[in-house]
Amino acid sequence: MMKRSHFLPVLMLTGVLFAAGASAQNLPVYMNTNYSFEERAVDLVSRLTLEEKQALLGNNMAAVPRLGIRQYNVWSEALHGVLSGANAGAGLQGPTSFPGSVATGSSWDPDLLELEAGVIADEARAIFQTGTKGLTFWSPVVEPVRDPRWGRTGESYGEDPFLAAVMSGAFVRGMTGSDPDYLKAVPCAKHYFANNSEWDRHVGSSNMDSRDMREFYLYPYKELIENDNLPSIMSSYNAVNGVPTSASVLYLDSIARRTYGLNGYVTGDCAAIDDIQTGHYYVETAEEATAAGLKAGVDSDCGSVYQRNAIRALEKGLITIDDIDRALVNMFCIRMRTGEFDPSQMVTYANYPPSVVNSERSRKIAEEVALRTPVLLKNEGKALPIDLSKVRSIALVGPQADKVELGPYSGRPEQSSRTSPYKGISEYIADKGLDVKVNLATGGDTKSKSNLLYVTWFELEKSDGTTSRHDATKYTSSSQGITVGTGMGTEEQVRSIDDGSWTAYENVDLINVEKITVGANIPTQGGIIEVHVGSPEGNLISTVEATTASGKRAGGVYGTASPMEAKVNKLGYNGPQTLYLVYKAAQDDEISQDVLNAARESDVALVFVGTDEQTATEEADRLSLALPGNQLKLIKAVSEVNPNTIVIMQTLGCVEVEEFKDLESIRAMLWTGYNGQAQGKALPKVLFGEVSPGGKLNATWYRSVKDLPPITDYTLRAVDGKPGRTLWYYTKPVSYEFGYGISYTTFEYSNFRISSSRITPRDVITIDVDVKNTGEYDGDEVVQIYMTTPDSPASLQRPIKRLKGFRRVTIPMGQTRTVSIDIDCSDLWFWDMESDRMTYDSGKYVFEIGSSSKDIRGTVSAVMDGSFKPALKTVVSDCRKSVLEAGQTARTYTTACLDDDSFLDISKAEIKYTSSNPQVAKIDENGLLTAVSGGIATVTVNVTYDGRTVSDSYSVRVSQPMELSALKVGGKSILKIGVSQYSILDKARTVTATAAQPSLKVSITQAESAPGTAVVRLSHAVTGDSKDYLINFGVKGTDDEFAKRLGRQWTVLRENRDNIAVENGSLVITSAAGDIVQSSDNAQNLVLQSANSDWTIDTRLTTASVPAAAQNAGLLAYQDDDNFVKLVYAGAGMARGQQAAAPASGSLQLVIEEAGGSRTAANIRLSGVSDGTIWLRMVKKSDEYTAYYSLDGKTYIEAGTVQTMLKDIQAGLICCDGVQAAGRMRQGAAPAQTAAPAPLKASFDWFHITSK
Amino acid sequence: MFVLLSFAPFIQAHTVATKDGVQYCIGPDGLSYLHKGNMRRISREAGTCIAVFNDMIVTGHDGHIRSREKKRCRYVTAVAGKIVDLSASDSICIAATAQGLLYLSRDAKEWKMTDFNAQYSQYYGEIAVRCVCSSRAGLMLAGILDDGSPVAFESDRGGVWSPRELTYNEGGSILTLQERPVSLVYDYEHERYEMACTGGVTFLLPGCSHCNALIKTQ
Repeated sequence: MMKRSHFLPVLMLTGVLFAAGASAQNLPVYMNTNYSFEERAVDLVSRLTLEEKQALLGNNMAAVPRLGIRQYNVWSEALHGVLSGANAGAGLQGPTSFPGSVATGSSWDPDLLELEAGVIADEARAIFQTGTKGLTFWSPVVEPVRDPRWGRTGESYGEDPFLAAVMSGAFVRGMTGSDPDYLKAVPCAKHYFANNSEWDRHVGSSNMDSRDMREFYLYPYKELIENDNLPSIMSSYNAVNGVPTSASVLYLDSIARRTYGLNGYVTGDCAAIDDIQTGHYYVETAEEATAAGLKAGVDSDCGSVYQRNAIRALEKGLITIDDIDRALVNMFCIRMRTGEFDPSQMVTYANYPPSVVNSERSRKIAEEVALRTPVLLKNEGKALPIDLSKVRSIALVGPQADKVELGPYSGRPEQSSRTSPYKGISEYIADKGLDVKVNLATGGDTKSKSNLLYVTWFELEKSDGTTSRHDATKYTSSSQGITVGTGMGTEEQVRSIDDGSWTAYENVDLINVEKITVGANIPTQGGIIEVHVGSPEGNLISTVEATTASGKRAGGVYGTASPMEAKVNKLGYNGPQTLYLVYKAAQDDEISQDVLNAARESDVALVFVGTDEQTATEEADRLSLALPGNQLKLIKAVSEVNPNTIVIMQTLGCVEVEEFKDLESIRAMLWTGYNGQAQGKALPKVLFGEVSPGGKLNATWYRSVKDLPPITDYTLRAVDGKPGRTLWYYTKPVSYEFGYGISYTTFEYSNFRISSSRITPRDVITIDVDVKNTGEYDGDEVVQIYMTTPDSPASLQRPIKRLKGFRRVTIPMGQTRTVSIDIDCSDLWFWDMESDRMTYDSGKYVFEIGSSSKDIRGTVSAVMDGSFKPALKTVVSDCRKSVLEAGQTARTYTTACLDDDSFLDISKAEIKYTSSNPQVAKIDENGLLTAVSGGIATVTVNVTYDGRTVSDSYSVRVSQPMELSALKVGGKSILKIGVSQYSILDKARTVTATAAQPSLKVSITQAESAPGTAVVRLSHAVTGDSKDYLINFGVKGTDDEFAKRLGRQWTVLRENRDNIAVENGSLVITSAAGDIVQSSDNAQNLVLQSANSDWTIDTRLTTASVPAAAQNAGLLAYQDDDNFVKLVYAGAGMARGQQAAAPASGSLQLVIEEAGGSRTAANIRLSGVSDGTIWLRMVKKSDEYTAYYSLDGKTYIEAGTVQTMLKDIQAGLICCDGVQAAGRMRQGAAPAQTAAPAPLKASFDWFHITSK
Repeated sequence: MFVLLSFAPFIQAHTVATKDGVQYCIGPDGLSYLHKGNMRRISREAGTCIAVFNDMIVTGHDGHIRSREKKRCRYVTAVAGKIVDLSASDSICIAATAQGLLYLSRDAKEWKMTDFNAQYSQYYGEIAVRCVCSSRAGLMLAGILDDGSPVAFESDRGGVWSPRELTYNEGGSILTLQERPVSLVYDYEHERYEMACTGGVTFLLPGCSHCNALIKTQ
């Protein structure tokens, strides 16, 4: 993506140090906003060392201090609010928790979701500015819910791909914002793709034909990438048709990038790269997994595989450096698109104060969304809304009556922002001043009967103390549904244990066994393990209580086994037996009398039931669709005692309702998904008639889990007696159909119109219908349009119907609205498996218009001429390299995809190539790129086919080695490969030099005399890059024992005679205010002598007191006040935990300053400095300065090494009061001055110099 | 070849490494080989650490790193400060001082020092290093920030360090480790670092930070 912006010389966010007064020309390209993001990213990547590159390939991207790059965690979540908590230190409250995806999916209101996502992005920006989180969010989940048992159903917008695409498209737009250059936040659609069962997600393969793949599973991604500029996807754990998605060039590159046009980054799900090897056994080693992921196009590994193995993979030839570079260019491009590398004044989204988080606006929008999600399933005799003027008491019962269930991936909002139904209803009634008694008696529980336990082993102990250990996963037989897996751990476990499941083990020796110990993990509440012999109903010899209720610890879904033991009833068995472990859920609690009394004694009984994170979640699918715990019992019991029972369900999706939905005393049923922090505020407004529920189910509610095919079956169409899936193919009766939801009012549809009765795939048509509110309340209706193709051959098994349009409208009582819905006919495609492209059936297309997928109020139709000439859609070009060396060539690879999602034979198209900077890189008519000389170039590729032109571009960095082919002094060659600084102890002689590349200019400034420095400068006229070679001509240095006076070899810079003296065999300098770091440049009494060669210098320093604050004294290698290296004994600052007392010793600091920008290379807190005496030594070799210190004059300890090019070097001594750095060092900022400490008196006993 | 079988603090501040019944004791004079199991008292304050690197025993004691092969102390490197921890895999040794000076070596003979805090304090904050670990999975160091909160970092070769999240999932909530690190080991069987922390807590760090776990000893 090309972007050019105006440059403003301002402070840089990343704290990179530059010389004061830097202009655009002096800025490295990656910091220069005159270049596009891709150009800047390519430049940055070209500057990284290999180890730095590897450390940046994981989600925890390392800081790179030498380039001013901060650390960055790619992983953040914002599914329905930023996943974070309050941070008082940063002034942040807990972020707003909006209704979860399953709830907002039932609102069918993309505009509202886009508004919500914009608010989430606002809060994300405010949090980002505190430095505690990034801006790349791994949300939304766009999986259509193929099977309601899927543990993450609560994170999805619904079962229909069109609905999921429209809703998640709104989320993406809200997050990314509308600025043409910058992204407000970076959403990431997941999990790409067909990750729709939890229990086997690390090891399983989702197998399907290309029709299901393209029409159903990939559809939302196609829509988001093509229509909403989705900037990221996450590759999933699972394989598809045997190939892990994270290792698939087909899925990630050919389809996501080259077919749909993804322009952004791909992250693996956490440990997905690891799963390529350890889950799917697709490769054998971690290096191969790294290679598979990078080559497929996964740019970032959430985990450590890339960060630990990329270099090894490179060394083994499994990848090239270009694979690594490409991934990093994608990652840095995204970071740059957030404005991270740009001055804040330029970034539209830079200034969000902490007060944005949990603002009143956020809370109001959370409530507004919560008002739009409820779905009214039943309402007999107008039980709802409740007329509060006619009731005296309301009972609130059920486990969710006084609970705020926020659902998966919720942040931690402020407690004050969370409103339970009980709190909300009580406050609502109190605010209205009504005399209605609210009787709360929660009762009921949500104990899960799914995934009771994960069992690893069991051990039998005999009466003589001997034991035998058995691997529980090696069962001989089991009940249906039992699985074995490791989840995200390494321990194999028996999983998917339901109430009544069993595993059997043959040939078990039970003679004299007295005790059994089972190694099991409790994911939620646990269960009972009955040990039977011979059959699941055979003799019961032991019962292991593996429940949290009995005091056992729950390890959660990621936990490992803990031992749980029980006595065994010895029954005199001889010989081996078949042992059965039968797993049972704990008995349901009885419904307490208090609950029933509260219900009985109230005019209306509201029963709050639902699911929670223990019902199903990541790593744990539901095995049952029943309401968990004893909630079904609760509903029935309450309905028996109160004829005005209203059931309010808050669940992650479909639950079985057949057992109670038609009970006469259950007069109404309301459903929401997890409805956010404001659920309790919204609910009373709905219950009491302020707002009429307008939500519609976003999924089919099946009558029974038994109606479903196995969860591992990813095919959709009915075959061989197996039912089809979703509203597309499911034909059996259901409890509630997709799109169902009634209202307090009624709506009448009439006057159905279609804008054209003959359509082609390129048309956009409009369907209009008049909808009248014929009831007694204002209300919302969601007009839904479903498409069928009755003329399609039966053999093609087209879907029964597909949702192709909808609109939610608000219609006041008695009024009529004309609802117009546009249908893009290009969206009415099917996938042709034989020709591997989109296709359109010719014939009649019927558009069913209605209030649900079954409640069709009218139809219109059109005849489709399905003939379709595909046009050019997506062009992707690259040369598979980000960095080239001058002289290198690379071929441009271009793919062109048509809008039927097939690839064009590129030879049929006309292609034109242009380079933005031919002097850097030129390109010929065949796409052969030749790197000419150092700089950045962008190649644009224009592909024209059938009159339509689509372009793509790629950027490259050409590195231009700035090398000499000859360097002579006085006619004699001194050139050494890799050396930029030379030292000659001799008089100055003429220096001559020749550049290795003819495009480089050589200019030489001769040294006039020794000491003096000749400078050979190589420069590139076009790029402005330059490199200096220094030849230092020096004279031998002179030792000084400071016996009587300062030797003649010295000069004293900024001499202050009051503070410098030779006395008692030492040079004594008393410090004064000032230093030479950064812009201070005012330290007095710098004692310097010429040292323009290689050398070793040392001294013995004694200070009368421990240096305080920023005081420092020691050795100096000095060019000028802006270029030097100093090794000093300095103030230590306060040690951790220290209060007012000064530290006992100072610290040793190695400080380097280049062009006015200084940094501390080592800061060593010293102890054991005896009598204030320390020995200091510095060794210069070429451009490298190594520092040492000693506390006894004998043993020298290395204190660090720095590299810098200094010329006309002087060596000497310094003692000054120093300056305290004010926070991070910034360009041009004057360091803060300290309060004046007592002067430091530094005695230098000698100065020795050995010149080389 | 030396195999480190056990390394344990004894009562009265002894520190030993044993192999096949042979005991090495770290005393005030450095490492000594015990012929008769005669243990000498040493001071814990001296900052004593031991690791085994292929054929060599490496100790950090009294401001020096000593590397011993064939029972003689052959390589001595003075370090700036007290070593708080020392660890070795079969390819790289690492020693660290509390101030964040890291000493790395690929042969236990020549050591390269880098100042972690000088390099990273502006980005990661100033850390007091508590423990390090070298394994075939790379290097990890852990410590505490000025405010007492724990931090950990990973590196493959010791030149570039990435921060490591110390969050974990408990009951559906994402929490952050509060306890301070005490020592680090690498569990090859489970492919994870294990960090012993204050308060009887062990923090597990597998390759993916999503699966961090906290275990409290009962």
